[in-house]
Amino acid sequence: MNIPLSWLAEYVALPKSEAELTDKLTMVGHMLNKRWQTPGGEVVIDLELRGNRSDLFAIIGVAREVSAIWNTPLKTPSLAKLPEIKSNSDLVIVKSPGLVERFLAFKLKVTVEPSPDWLVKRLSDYGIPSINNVVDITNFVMVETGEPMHAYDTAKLAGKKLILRQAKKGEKFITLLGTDITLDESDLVISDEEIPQGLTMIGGKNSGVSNETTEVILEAAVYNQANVRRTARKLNIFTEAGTRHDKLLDPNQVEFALARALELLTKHANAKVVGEAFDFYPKKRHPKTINLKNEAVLKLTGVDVKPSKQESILKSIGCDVEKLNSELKVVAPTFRTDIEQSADLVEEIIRIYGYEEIPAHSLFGETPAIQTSKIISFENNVRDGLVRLGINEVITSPLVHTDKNAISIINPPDPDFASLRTNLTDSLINYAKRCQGFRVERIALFEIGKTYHHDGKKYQEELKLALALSGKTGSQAWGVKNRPMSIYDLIGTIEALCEILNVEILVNSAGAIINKELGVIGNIFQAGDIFVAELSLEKIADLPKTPIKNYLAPAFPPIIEDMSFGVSKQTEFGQFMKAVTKISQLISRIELVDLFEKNRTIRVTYISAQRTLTEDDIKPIRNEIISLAKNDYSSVVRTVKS
Amino acid sequence: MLNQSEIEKALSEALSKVAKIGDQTSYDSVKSDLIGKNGQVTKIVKTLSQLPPDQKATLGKKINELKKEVEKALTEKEISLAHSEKGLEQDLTLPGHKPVVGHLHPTTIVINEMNEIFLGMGFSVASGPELETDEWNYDRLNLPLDHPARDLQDTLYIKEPDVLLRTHTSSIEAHILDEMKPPYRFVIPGKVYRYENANASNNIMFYQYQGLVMGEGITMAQLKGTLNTFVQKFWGKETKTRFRCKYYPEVEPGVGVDISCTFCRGAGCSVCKNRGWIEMLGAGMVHPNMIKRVGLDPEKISGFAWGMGLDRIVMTRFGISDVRSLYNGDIIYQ
Repeated sequence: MNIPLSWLAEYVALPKSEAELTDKLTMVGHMLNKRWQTPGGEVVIDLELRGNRSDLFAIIGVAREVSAIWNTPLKTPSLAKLPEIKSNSDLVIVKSPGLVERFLAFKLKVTVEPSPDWLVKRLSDYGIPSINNVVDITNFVMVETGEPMHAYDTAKLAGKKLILRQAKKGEKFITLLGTDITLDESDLVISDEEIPQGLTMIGGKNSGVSNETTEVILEAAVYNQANVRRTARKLNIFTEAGTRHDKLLDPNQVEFALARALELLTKHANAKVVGEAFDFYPKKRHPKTINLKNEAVLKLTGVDVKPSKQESILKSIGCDVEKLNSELKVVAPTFRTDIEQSADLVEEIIRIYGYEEIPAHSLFGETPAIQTSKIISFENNVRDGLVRLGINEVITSPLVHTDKNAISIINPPDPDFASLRTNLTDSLINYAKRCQGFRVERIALFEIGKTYHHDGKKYQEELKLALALSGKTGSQAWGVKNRPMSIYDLIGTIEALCEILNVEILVNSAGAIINKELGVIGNIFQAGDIFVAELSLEKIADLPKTPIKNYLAPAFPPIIEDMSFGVSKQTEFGQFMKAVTKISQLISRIELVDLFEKNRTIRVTYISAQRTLTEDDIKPIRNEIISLAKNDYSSVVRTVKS
Repeated sequence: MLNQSEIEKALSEALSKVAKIGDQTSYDSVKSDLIGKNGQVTKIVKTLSQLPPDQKATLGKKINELKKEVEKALTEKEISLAHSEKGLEQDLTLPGHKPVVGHLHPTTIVINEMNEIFLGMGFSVASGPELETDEWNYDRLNLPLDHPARDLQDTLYIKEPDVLLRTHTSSIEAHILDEMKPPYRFVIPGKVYRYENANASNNIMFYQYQGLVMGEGITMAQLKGTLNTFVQKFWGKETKTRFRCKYYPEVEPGVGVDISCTFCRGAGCSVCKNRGWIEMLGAGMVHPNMIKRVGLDPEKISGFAWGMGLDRIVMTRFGISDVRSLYNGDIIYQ
């Protein structure tokens, strides 16, 4: 809110330096947003106010904070006496009591003329243009007290009364700014006997106070804040009155504000009350009593503020305080609609006492057990593993272009971000294409993120890992053998990752990534020249761990021999190689060293930890390999070379 | 006995020997002749201890100078030999055959760095659902329906009014409060979503970093100590913090944490809007309503929580000016 400093100074003495004022206000919760000087020389500060402090959207409210901080007296403005309230007045009919907490109104004869200079200046410093004395005074008092009010030209009101009701669907209304608006049943209107004359946050064009006006109905109210906010947002009407009405206002302030307005109207618009006042206030709001234990401040803040200091601070913000044995009985003023319980009072005490007085302690006591979930640690291992393999991490938006088969946003700001992705690979393929556009020679990407679907009963989120490879194995550099990548680079990357993670998977000829215990955990495929894989990270995390490898150099020499096989069309050679490793403990390694048309050459390494192996040890194993190839994998051994 | 002119003579002889060295072999033998175990210079140095006390000061200095000069000449010769000899065969200034290096995403790097700091203070890392209900995203955080603070966080709805994309990582705080038994310390990095018209500074999806500490005797002083430690480890020892009163519905008392502007060091610049401070974190003591809601007694158990946006920190660190670049394919690691 904008606060012209000379206006603020009418109610409280300001500290000598402006920086002291704004620094301290910032520290107690009202951050200085900006400051400027008007052409007339007035310094205006704009404070970022708290949404739960409706009392601060008022110059007097800010003055009260200043008075509490510097412990200086608050000067309240002079008030007129309000007309007597008549319970059966027919000036106003409230037909929607659920949306109105208080509505106080009375009639006045007025002389409409231009405002005096001081009033024009105050409003212009704040940022409200001057209209005429009556309208300006209602605006001035709103900014001064925080309570919005409105004056209706009685002559323009059918039936010369106000009716508070919900709008009819499609009902039209023209605001005092001339905007045409169509209403519905959710909107509260202040109408006459025929048409709406005002909304909670703005008056109507028809009944606004003009130079011809001689009599007005002046009202101030507190409405249901949520309803005000909904209407304002729906109709896109943001006004000074709406800003205040959508907060939890104090209905008891309505009288104070109207008495202040009447004082000024009497002085500057020759106002004379006609008849009695109407007041709708079925449920009076009473001040809250809170017992604040003496040690509560220390327990929550770590600062030992003496009970007498607690008492003086609470009094300075307007509370009544009574000292009891080990606690303070605190009655908070009703305008502090934010104060509800002990912790709220602790905040009041510590913010005035000074947040800078809070010491910095480290966390003491026993360190709680580490409870990081297995999947989070595993996710980090996968990330690190892939980076070790030279794959780059990317993050893409989980929100993707509208997809009818996916979970979708009801209110998307942009059709490109309207649905939740069902896979990571689409985004990763696009990412790889983008890299191709930038002429990246070796494209190697991974992403760990969620996919989303509805399983018929519940919304499900699944943590996935996706990989994309494209281009060459390295960047163009001198002396480096650089070849185009193939699907086997992708498979090899996944195998290497499994080696790092100590798990085992195999890829079948359909591209499914399989584990014997857990079934399918992902798949690989080719999209043009981009090789992609998507795997369930949760399933990889659940894979049984393979035995830890012994990296020691062997004590006895190995026997290494190459075996060539002729394969047939249906041979799944990778499956065969895996089966070979299971034949004997002596087989320590098996590699595919050559591949040409239908010939496959494997290199088998035999090692024993106990002794030097001989041909007698190897021969039966070799024969078993050859018969396995023949019987189960329709492959014929061609040569064996040691 | 030695005298000054003999030392000078020995020096000039030694230097001329070094100057004549042409290859590595002669370097090795000259070096041994001069400063080896029985080298000429070594022998002179050894006489130092036998000098009469009145000569020790003047001659001792000369002898040390002799040794230093000879060693310096030898080192220079060694470097020049290395250049001329090896340079004949290969140009070692050429770029090497670099193995492929993989990179983590900038956001991951920052998250890892922060996690590391908090792990050192006994924190665990938590995660949780992004698709949430109104209850966990708002209601449990002391933000009932129609609470004005809901306006600040424009929500993306999957199904109105109760299924939505979480607007903050505080939703995980609500789950932890419900499921875990204090004492505990958690940090929660994660994606959050808001209704935004995406531009260089606002994105529909972005990252937050949440923290939660619950236990007996937890105070604002510990909040201050913990976040001070974090700020100084992450941004450097010279970084100052400012804790001021701020309103967030899920905490009471509430705290806004500013750090001294990392660009102007508090002097005032365009980044900090001439305030000298940058708003970095929202924090506070967990609201008593939330503690009561999970059946705990706020008189016995207290705690603090904080939340901060990560993307701006990542952008500053990596010199990225458009937040969308982080997640739209602009990062190509070339």
